[in-house]
Amino acid sequence: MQQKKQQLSTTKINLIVDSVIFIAFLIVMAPHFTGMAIHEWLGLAFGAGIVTHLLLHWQWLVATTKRLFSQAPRQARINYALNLLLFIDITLVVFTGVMISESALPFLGISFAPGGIWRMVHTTAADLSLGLIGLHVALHWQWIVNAVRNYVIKPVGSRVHLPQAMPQYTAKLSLAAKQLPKER
Amino acid sequence: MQLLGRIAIILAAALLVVGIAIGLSHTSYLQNMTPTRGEFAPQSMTGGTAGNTVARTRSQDSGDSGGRNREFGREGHNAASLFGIVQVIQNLLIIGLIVLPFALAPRFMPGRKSGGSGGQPPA
Repeated sequence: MQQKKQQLSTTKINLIVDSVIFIAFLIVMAPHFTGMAIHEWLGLAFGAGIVTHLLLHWQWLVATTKRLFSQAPRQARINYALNLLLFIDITLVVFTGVMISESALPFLGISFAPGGIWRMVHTTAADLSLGLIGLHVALHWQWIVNAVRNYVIKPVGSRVHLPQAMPQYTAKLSLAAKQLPKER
Repeated sequence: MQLLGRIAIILAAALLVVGIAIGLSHTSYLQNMTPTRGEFAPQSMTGGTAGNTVARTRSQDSGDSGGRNREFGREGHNAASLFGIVQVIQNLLIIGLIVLPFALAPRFMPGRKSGGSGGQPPA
């Protein structure tokens, strides 16, 4: 029972962290919306978010790496390959973002010689990350749906129906029904 | 301690990617692909146009930020705009289009068992 409770709270933590990372990704991918300074700071925070995401899934990462070349199922191998590509891509996006930074790094007193190549890699890798994140979400869609159903829709639904108020309400209704004059 | 070790492993893997990226950036093929304006010149290329480029970009760096932004094609990006939400919606739609076939697939394959919500999802 304790283990089950712990497992459920892990799912809840994963759902919260992943949702925050996903929203941050959507915002960071729109520099017109945020402006360049927020884009850069949020990009750095996004990098930290990815490290957190990896730490939360460390068990899966180690287990799959160990059995990658032996008995890992095909779906796990595809997932692993996609995640590896995503890690390389996100690392490139964050690194090149640091290299072309105009607000965040200069604010910290660090500046690099700006380069056209880093800008080109940053744009290309960011565009690629959109597709890779889409595939990542797609491969975990069933988990997302179930977790949202259990931790968002069900609790919100139960609050909307006000279960505490229900017995009172039904008691009043039955009393009113008794007081009604009988037909015929 | 274990957590720090894991973070170190992740950062080491990231550093490996960065190292490869820097190594590749110095190859002649990628050097030729880069635009000439605002180009990053490695320290070994001191003479000729590369040196001039570095001198030009550094002088612009010391000037106003508007000039630097024009140089690197980031004009209009510096200020936040509410109209930029279109970009967010556009990206969300692209991700939605990628996810859609995967979300609809179980409906057309009733034999497939759906995954549970408990436990740790695959990374």
